[in-house]
Amino acid sequence: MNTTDHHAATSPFAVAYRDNVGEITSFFARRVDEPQLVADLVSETFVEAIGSLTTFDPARGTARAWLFAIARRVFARWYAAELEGRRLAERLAGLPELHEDELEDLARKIDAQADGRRLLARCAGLPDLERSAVELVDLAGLTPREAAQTLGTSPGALRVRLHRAHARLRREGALHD
Amino acid sequence: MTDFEQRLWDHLADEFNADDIVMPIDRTIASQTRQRRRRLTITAGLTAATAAVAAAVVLLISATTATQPAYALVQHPDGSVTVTVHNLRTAIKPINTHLRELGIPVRFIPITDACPASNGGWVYPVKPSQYPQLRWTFTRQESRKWPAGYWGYIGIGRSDDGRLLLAGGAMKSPLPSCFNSTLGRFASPSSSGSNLVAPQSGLFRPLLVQRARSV
Repeated sequence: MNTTDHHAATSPFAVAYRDNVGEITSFFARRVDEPQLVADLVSETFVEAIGSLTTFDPARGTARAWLFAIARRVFARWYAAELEGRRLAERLAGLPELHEDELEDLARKIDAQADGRRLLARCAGLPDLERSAVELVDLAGLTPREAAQTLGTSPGALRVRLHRAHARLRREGALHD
Repeated sequence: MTDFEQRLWDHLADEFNADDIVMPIDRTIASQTRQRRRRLTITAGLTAATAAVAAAVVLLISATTATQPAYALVQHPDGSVTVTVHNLRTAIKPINTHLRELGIPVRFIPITDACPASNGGWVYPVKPSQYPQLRWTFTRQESRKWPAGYWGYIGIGRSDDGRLLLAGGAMKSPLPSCFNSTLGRFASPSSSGSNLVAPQSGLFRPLLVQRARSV
């Protein structure tokens, strides 16, 4: 049995990583302002993705939607731990401490998400689904279909909620055409 | 990619063989699409079952250097059982005998190059340095959540080039006697109607491995 046929080319997981790690990093950079923590959460997302490969079904959605769903879970878990006052004791996914230049890179990424954080703050009064739809579509660049896959809802429902959220944000002056 | 993103990839590739990972889309393209899609559908329908398996099977790691028997089995007061494999070649048979005596619905299955590819299993290569010792804990409560007729399985073996291979999940009885060492993909069951449940994610969750290291 040939076990090397998938080693020759770049693996699909590598492609999924390359195509999405930037946006996943931004996703966390909109939520936390510590570079090391952003790194840990990104790291845990991809480690969890490796351990959850069987939950990815290409018939049900794209790798991007799948990875964002994992990122949301990772953040929710971390946030719940924070609320309970129990900081996760060890580095989540074993990535060594960041180098100085990496810290600076991530700090810049966090700064670059200032507008995104402001938009999310203005979405604070929206229902979770609408707030998430705005972020995933307007900030992370997912298609409505992908966002629906990430959020576990139908594309139609997602579009309705997104439209509703946009309308409300326009009324409040937080969004302009 | 930024330096961080590149180094994270290098870390994932080094620690978790990320560059060897074949995602389902790859399998779908590479093999008979129709049959594969059917199995993926089956897999998706059994998420709860596989989640139960994931919760039941926890991989723990600890260092060891002393001469040891082929395996160790510890029964805990809560009914859970911890199995530590010291010798991949000789441990499987006595472990299974022991598990059978205890009524634990989990079996260890060897992964070999010689095994027919028709015996489906999700086989993962891992670095021996990353797994100096193999230890699983099985809890009865979680195993009761599995669908009727399903058994947990742990596949262990080595590839020709010495890589440690693991597999894991739950499968409808009867379990195969071995798994083929084809990496990172399902071997196609030869009979009609797959008895294969998803290669459950929890078994290989490196996060659990990482946490276990500090135990």
